[in-house]
Amino acid sequence: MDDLELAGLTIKKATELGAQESDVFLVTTSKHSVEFADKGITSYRFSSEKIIGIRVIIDKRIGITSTNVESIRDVEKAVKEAIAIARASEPDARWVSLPSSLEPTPIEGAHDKRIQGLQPRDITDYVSTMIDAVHEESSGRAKVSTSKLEMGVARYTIANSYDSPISRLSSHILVNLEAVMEEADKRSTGSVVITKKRLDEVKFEEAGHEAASKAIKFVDAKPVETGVYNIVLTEKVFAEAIETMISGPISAEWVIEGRSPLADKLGKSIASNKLTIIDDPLMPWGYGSREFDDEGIPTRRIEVIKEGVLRSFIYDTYTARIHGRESTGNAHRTPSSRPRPRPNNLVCEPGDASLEEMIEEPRILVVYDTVGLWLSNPVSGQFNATVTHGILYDKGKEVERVKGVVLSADFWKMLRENLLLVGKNVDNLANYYAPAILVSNVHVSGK
Amino acid sequence: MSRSLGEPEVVDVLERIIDAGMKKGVDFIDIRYNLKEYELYYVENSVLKESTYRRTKGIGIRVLLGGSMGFTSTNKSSLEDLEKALDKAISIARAVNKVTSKIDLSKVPVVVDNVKSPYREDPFTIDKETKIELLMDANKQSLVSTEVKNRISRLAFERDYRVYLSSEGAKIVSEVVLSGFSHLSVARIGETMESHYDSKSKVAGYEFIESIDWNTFTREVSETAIKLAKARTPPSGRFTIVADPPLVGLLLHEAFGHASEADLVEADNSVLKNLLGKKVANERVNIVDEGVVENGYHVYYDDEGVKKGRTIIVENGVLKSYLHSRSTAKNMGGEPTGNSRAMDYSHIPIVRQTNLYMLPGDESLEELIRETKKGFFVSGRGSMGGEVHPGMGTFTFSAGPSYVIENGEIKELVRGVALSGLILEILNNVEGISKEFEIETSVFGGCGKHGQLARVGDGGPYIRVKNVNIGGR
Repeated sequence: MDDLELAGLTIKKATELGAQESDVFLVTTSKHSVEFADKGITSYRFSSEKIIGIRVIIDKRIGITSTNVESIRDVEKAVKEAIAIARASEPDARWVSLPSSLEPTPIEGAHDKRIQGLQPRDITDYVSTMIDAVHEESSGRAKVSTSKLEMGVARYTIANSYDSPISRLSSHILVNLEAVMEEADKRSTGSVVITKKRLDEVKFEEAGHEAASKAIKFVDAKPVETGVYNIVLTEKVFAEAIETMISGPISAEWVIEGRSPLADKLGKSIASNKLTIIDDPLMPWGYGSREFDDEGIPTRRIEVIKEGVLRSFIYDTYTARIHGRESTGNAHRTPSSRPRPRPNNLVCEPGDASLEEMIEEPRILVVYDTVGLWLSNPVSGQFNATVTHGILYDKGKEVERVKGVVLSADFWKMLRENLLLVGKNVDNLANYYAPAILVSNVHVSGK
Repeated sequence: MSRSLGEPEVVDVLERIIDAGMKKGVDFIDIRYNLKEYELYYVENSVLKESTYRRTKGIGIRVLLGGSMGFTSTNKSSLEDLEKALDKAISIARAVNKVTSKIDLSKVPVVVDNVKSPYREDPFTIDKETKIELLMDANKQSLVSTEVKNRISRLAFERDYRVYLSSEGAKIVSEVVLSGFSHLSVARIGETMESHYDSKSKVAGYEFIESIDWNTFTREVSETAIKLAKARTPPSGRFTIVADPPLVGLLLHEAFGHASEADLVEADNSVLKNLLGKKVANERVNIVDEGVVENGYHVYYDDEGVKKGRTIIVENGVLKSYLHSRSTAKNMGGEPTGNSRAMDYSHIPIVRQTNLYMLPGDESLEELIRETKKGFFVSGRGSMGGEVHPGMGTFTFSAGPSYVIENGEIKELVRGVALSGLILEILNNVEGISKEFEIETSVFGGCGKHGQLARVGDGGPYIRVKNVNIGGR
């Protein structure tokens, strides 16, 4: 039985058992996951599974179950359990209905067929290429530390009690390569993170060279003096900041439920006019690009922040109905959870500044890597991150390499009052795309 | 013929695959069957937004062939499907043979056992209506003022059933049941918004949920959120801190526990490499990792069938052992410590902490505070977590509500405290350790490593540490 048929049968079963509405979120995955270090592959895992999530609604009472599927009996059991949960639940007075139709939007680059056909030998070759490149770049001085390569394909199938099931394929590649260097008592690392959908975009050899050169470069890094600095958040660091600090507050769920600091800011200026952020699920080969969201709603571009002004929140069907509007196609879910609005590809548009222009002034700390940025608080706007790889420049000249300092700032004040320059290059961390930015007045706690 | 895996048939089917693997010439094979049930109720602003039940089951097959390891997982349980999975694992082991150094496993006692965590009332058999009513009531109680803008209460239960079989003859069945409650409140005062979160979980049944007054619990979380929204952020700089047990737990887990994991040491990704037998902490500091601890998580055996007892990691400030799997122990000349754990059937076991904690000292909390002239009392309750870069030796974590200490007295509440430091400095800077002591676990989260989430327990005494880097503004 294929996934479309299984999804359709599940809906039929739910209706037979008394569900007034129901939907199915079925995910079939196959994935190669490899961990490796300098001595080679330390673990290689191939996994495949099919997981179904079933949501049923009875008199505005909602029940959700999920199970991995071996046979139709697993599904029948899960449907019965979902019905039992719904009957025991409290009604949600704000519930209106599931989407009345399921429809894809055509996009370019949803999945790379080559990933589906990969054999273990291909994967081991990619790993060897990265390890060799680290050794070559460093003339054997750097080693590969705990690293990971993951490549997989997933089929997502959506069905509901109003329309025929639809299905889409998606591929993903994750490289997390870390080189380590030890000399005398000094020790440093250099990491490269790549998240793409298409094999051609992953340059394994370049990744090895980059990780090694970073490890070599930062072997003398140390904390700088505590103080207030102008800093450059490089592309991936700013992309992570956008994910941590913006993806939640622009969700209509956060707005409706009183969690978002942006709740009363629609149409108002919340950032410098240099900042424009769109949600673009149609970007060719974008990491989060997809034909429809996790409720089967066609995806579309949404202008979230235009020249500093908050233009739109992002919606799934439930939140859109509460605000009396259409879903923006941003429903995300796992088989065991209800949909919630999340960005598809949140893209900060580039400016025109080069890194050289950003470091022209005195005392600029350029931040290449951090840990703990995700611990920042999107509700209060408190932004914190510990720098592991940074360089302090003075009027364009490198002064020292930096690690072990904590950045602290009011995130929205930083973007509103202290955003000086926006870089011209964009890089991504999963489905978050950003340029580098230069900001002023950031507290740096060092020595 | 295909047949479904119910628990009674599990062992029989898996043993046939082990035999098939040995006949195909593998040097070692182990198989894990895992069935997990997770029930979650989620109430936001007095509306039941989610009541969910998740059931995952499947089989992971690991083979060792000519010194290389291959692993596959599947949720299909027919003999035919499992034989296919076995062949895939063997083909992977052959493919990686040229791109890996030889793997071997330390010898361990072959165990046959059946263990179950203690509980009186199976939470999965309690009426859903009863659970929902308790959660709805507690959520309503958290609306203590109009300044509270958002309230999320969760109630969750987990059953983790595992069967481990190996070609050496091990056969271990284990079951752990975990129950817990969490609450988050967001308060807004003027333009300032702040949140506070707290949770309590225990390896226990529904009797644990019935033993606590959750209405008071959620009210207190809301009251703290309101106070935090009125509080200042701290200044940046280096200060002495008195850390509470949840923060000590976070600090040890992030700043030290990960660096003591032998797979990271082996991969040149730990600052504790080459430090066995050397001083890594103040001589008062003793750290252990223990499988079964009151109020912690329960790990009776790891996912390689090794009994998890108590591992002494630091004794009187000296590093005594890393945490090992069978392969890291063999490769590094240590003893397997029962720390090889997998998130579920579909993941390969890797070195993980279980309940990692600091042993108590002989001072009182009052004394620790009294002897602090200027600094902060820092709480881990309500923290958003932490992260470590074990290779660079850098760690960072967020703290919950914290207080200024001046001349030995607790003063003003502060919010948004972030702490950071270097692993090899922090435990050398410990100045005092209390006799008061707490450990906790969580059904809502755990430790993430290499994409795998593991339930852990952590905690310890209150400690005073000098020269800690605090980020504020």
